[in-house]
Amino acid sequence: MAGLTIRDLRKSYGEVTSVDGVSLDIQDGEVITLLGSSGCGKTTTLRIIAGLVTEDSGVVEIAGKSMRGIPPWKRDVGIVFQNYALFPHMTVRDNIAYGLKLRRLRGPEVTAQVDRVSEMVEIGDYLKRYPRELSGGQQQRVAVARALAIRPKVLLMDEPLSGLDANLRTRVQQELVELHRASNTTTIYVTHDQHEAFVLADRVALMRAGRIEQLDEPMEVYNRPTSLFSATFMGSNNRFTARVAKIDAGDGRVELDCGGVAMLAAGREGLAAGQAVDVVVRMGRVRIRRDAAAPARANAFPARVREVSFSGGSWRFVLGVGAGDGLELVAEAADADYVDDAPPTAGASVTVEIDPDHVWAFPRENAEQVTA
Amino acid sequence: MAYRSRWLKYVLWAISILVALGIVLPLISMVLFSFSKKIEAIPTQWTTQWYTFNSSDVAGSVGASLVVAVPAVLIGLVVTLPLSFAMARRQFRGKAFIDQVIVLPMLIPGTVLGFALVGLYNTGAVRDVIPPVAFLIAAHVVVVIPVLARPLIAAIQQLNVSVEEASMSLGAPPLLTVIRITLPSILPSLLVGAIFALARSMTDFAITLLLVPIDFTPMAIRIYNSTSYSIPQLTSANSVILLLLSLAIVGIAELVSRRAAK
Repeated sequence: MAGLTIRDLRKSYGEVTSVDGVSLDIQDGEVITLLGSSGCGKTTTLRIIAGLVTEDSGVVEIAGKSMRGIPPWKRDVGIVFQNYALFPHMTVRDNIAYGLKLRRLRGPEVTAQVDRVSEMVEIGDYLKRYPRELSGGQQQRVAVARALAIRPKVLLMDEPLSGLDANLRTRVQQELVELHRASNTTTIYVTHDQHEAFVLADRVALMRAGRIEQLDEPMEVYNRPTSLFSATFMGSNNRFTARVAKIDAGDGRVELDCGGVAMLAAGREGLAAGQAVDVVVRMGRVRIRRDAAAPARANAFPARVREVSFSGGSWRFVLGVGAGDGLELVAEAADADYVDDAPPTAGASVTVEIDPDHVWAFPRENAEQVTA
Repeated sequence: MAYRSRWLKYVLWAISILVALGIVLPLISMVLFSFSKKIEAIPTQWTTQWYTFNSSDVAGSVGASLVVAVPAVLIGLVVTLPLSFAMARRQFRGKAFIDQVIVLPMLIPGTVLGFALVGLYNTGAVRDVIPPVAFLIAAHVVVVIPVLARPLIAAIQQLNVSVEEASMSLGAPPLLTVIRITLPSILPSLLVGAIFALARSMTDFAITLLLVPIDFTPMAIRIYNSTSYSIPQLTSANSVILLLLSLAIVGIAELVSRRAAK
């Protein structure tokens, strides 16, 4: 089957290491997104798979066959480029038919396949037009159709939605999900947009400095980050330093000393008592209870509301937590959470509760490395 | 603001009209004059005799112009195409130098370049090996290269590499990609450059004058020679023929590029 295996891929440009040991196993029909900020090596990885860049070392296998020494035109890989890269002097139909004609398909077969894929991406009405007569969204569909027409073993997409405006992008994301359901092509999707990555992917490979930082299903990457980088790359977060007070605080958890506040956190290998740690808590996971008397539950603390702001869909509260308000946390709540009763106002005394599984402590890293 | 921009509009209009008149008026008077029987500022008696005067020689001169211009442009293209790709796509030592050298034929006076070439032709064995017309063509290659190279380099720079990568990923090896994708994409610029190069070569005077053999008279030289008859109307008539030829060529360029842009 047409899965894809990458083992220990490396590529340097002079002094600059672009891809630094990437390994991936992609199942047939799976969608993987390579997520990362610019310069993390995601596009280079994609281009190596396509054969447009030659790796320094490592293995790329498509459908079990090593791609070493096989040029791009013999790899049966479809690419959708960031700028679509449509052929300007050809009609939409000729663009889509290009790869099919090169495969020496007969005329009727070419026509049938072009009609099939253009129907899939809903551009059947534009086949006679030239690329410049199409909107950005339409060009994007043509690029997808052209790549899918050759029935590629792997479909590679390099930030294909970055040229579209926000509304259209959300719609096209959904369409790509449906399109994948119909074509079931093994897909690698490169993006720097976490929402896009999560919506589209079966698994997300979060990349950093030429390596895969974390590879897992979207929910896992979001809710169980394995590193400080993973934790802070996505979502809006509280981040503060603390000290590990106790390693075994029951249920596999650890107890932290956060400026006088004793907080339970999810257990993690490599933590030792007395160690300085970086702590990350998603703003949405800081829950506010109206009763001032802190109940004797785990991770429930008395707090004072310092600031309240409303940004349309959500509320944001800046809280002083603990005895002397020693720890500052920001809580986010959806607008819908305050339908029946009004949100707390500045100065109010409240109780803050945080699920220990969503308090993530990471051994302190060199500050330089943490660039999310 | 609206007040100011309206004034600006009038000023720009006035300048445009002045420039247009400055170019067109002398041409109009030249055309009128070429049909004038006598030498007078505003013709009163009309004739076509200057156009039929030695008309077979004029036809021969148009032919001679083409004999130089067409091969010069074709050879120029063969040189310029790879050069333009290198200039647009690659980084190499001496690139900035070549960038300057390419425009030199445009900046150096034709007489200077012409004298240099005459000197070259008359030294050593060059004269014995290369026929004079071939050397003239070679000189014109030098003259047309900047005209060809500028639009080509710009077109190749504009062409995104990913278009060629897309072609390769769809199954076309590099050579096929160049034929099917790259060349068609830059064809309009190539044709426009070629046509302007043709016009440049055919209207070149200084270098051509210094290099033409005695029995070879391109149009630009014929116009110059005709002044020796002391019949300015004849010179005008010859000039009009060269003007029409150039206009026709540029007109074709316009048509071709519009068609290609479709």
